Amino acid sequence: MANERKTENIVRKHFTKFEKECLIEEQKSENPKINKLLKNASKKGEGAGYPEFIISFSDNQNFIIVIECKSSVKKHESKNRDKYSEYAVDGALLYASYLSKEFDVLAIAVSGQSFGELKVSHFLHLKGENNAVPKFSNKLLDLDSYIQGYVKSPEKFRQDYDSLLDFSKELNEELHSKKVKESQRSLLISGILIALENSAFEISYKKHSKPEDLANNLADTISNELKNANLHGKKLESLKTAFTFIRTHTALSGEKNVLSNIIDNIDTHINHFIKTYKYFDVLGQFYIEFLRYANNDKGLGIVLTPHHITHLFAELADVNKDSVILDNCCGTGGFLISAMSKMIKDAKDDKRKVESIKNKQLIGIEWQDDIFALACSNMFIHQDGKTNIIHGSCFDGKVIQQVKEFRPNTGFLNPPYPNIDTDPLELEFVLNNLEILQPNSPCVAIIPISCVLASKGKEYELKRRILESHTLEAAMSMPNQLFYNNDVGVVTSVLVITAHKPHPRGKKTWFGYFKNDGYTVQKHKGRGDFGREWDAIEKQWVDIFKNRKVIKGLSLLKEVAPEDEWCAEAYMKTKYSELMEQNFIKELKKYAAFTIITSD
Amino acid sequence: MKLVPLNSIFNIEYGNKLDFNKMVKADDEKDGINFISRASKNFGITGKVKEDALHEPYEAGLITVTLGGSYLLASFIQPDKFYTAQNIKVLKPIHSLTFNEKLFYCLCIQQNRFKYSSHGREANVSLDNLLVPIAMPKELEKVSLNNIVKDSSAPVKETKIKLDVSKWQHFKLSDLFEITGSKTTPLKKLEEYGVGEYPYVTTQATNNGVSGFYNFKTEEGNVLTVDSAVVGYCSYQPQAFSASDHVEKLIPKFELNKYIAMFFTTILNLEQYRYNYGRKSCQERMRKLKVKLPVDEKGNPDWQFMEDYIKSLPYSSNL
Repeated sequence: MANERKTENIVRKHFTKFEKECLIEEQKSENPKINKLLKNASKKGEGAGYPEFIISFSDNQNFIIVIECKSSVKKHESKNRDKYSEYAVDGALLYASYLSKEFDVLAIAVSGQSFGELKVSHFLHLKGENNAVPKFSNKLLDLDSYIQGYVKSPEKFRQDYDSLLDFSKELNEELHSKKVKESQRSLLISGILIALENSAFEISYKKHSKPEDLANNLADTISNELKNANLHGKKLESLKTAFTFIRTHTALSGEKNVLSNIIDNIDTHINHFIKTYKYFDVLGQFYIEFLRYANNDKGLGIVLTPHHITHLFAELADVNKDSVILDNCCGTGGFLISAMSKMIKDAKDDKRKVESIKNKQLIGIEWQDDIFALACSNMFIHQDGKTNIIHGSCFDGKVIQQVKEFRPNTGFLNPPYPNIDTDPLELEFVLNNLEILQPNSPCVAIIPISCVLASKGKEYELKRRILESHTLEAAMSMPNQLFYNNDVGVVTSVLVITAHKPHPRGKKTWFGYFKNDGYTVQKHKGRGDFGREWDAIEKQWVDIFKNRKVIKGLSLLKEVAPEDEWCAEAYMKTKYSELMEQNFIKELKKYAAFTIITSD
Repeated sequence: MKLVPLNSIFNIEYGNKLDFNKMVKADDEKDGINFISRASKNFGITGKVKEDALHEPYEAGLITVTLGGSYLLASFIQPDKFYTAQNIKVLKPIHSLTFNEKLFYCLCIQQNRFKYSSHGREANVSLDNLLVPIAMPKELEKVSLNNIVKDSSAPVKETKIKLDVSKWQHFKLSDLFEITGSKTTPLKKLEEYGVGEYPYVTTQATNNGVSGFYNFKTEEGNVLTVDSAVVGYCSYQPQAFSASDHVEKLIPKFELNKYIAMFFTTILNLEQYRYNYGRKSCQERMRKLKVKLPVDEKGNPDWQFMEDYIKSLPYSSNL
């Protein structure tokens, strides 16, 4: 006769090993929050629920593990997972659904009489989510694997990322109420993050009695940290100037607790996020949020690239540990950080290689003062204090020479849009990037689609110059609303160009029609991957690009000249085969409705 | 007329208060349950979701009323089973009401909009006690859609015609139409002329592109129009009209009637995937465009077939 006690004993024995790191309880919990949630979680439909084990952690109060045991492996899981009292998985999931109102729950279902026949299923049900997702293998793992698997899971990342975005909104409102200008908000955050790298500051910032002292201390710490980070002379001076507003701002340096509360919040929310998920352009995300409601700064022509597109670029260009990346209009450094993430992964544990990546293989140029300061801070935060962002114009001969010495072999850019007639055009930035790159290097650029449609005039001339010296490998039409979060309506295209290899006669360029990236727009949240579709879509895009696959409705090959339109939509065939009676009837209905509504 | 509080005619309760973004979307448009949000169009239906084990959907025929949002107090008789979002109340008649009576109360409720504003005074608290007429006036019983539209789905001809797209041929749009722009008339100027009989065609992709009727025209009718600003939406304009900026005209070089026009708007609206805010459906691009059409033995466009085909479809008697 199978005995559930035996199963429980196996589980108890397994987890008792980790007793020092957690609190193991059975049936009930001393934690009132847990008990309250279990009150209605009976497997039979009414009354309270009593899971076999509840494991909680004093150092992570948001996370609990709940375990449900059944004696026989036949009682492991029912087909519809709705026989809560009879089956282990069904019961575990039921408890998780209740407990997830307040906790991130790892639900474990265990059945079997001996270690050999033991059947184990794991599910992660994060707080506030509707569903649990299967996790881990079908064996009992040690506690650390569970915690690591939970902390590093993509689901947890999304949850943390979502709450980071929520925090960015709160912070934006707070800074708005304290009259910190939009353009200074990101700088303030980046400055605080830099200062928090300094352990003396981290310990002492709460202890200042006068807000003015704290403001000065913050500004001083930022300068000192930057001085230690390979920044000298003019570059350092211009950065210091960018941060001086902290010393004199009325609320920050005058009102009690304002600045120290902001620092405290940033330490808990942002710093924690950056330390957990390395190499993510957090400042860029905040910058987008802060500028979303700022009308006065839109004229700057800065449109930061969404994170999933910077990630896509690194994939398209096959970035690896030996890549040397150039972004000649780097903004907050989003492309550089995405590339860095992939390069460091590729370098594995080779510390010297990682060092070299951070010191010599990521080069950015930025012209605008405050954005330059942001880019430097961003690189500083991710790079343990080193930065290769050059402050200047990418068209300046000296700057070009300086960058060429790094021998960049991969170019990324999202050029600024011209504001007045004398501003350089987007394609001039692309040509500039190509010029600096080593021969045969890929250059990936995202630009307004209108730039590549011209058949005469200045833009045509630039298109001609590109094909004269370089090879147009591919052009991909991007989703119309890609820059929705930046409040910019421009429709864009991604070009992939090989540098210093004249476009061969008869070469066919590959064109992608990438209008669906799976992102949707939600009220108050903006445009995001709410359906969790992007990962699969990105994989497909990269695959069909790399293999130059031709897929109906998605991609095609076509030889193009400078005067042609460089985009898929000009050459795609309309799908008449899908034309059905339904299309016509719909058209008739619309017209009939119109005539009826407007008739007397 | 005697007025009574709304809750003496209806049982009023808050709807399901669900979040559309957290619901499982229905795989098929046909089955699935309507999800009602605070939208003011299409009965407030935002989409179709799967039935949720924890929530019972409401039955068809009940009335939904929005309590906030940009079109506050939008009231609809729901045509099918439904769930609702937050800030929506559901009205169940205490004694059974006819369709016309329900419609009458929807209009009565909406008549109270002037008392409320979104993010200002919303209707959550006071809806239940809103004063409405105790009964519908007798003469409204006669109003019926059937008196306005005659069997709306009837075709002109009861014959079945099949499409065989594989035999169609490509034609250059510029060989079939003269492609030109239209004269731009600003709305301000039209308002000076006043409301009248001529449609004002704009770049909107709904209501046949028409945003209003004014006493002014610049263009002759019986042409197709295409917007060159947004999606390249094509519509048929039977009568003379005026137009906003970015409305292009396709003047037929053949005998166009409303049936053939419907054939063309369907075909030309298939091209919208090519156009967006950065790449517009301008005259130059349309001149280069080729479309596929059915042909006669000589290889010319088969106008008679197009006309007969459209006439064989449901709703064609309403054109």
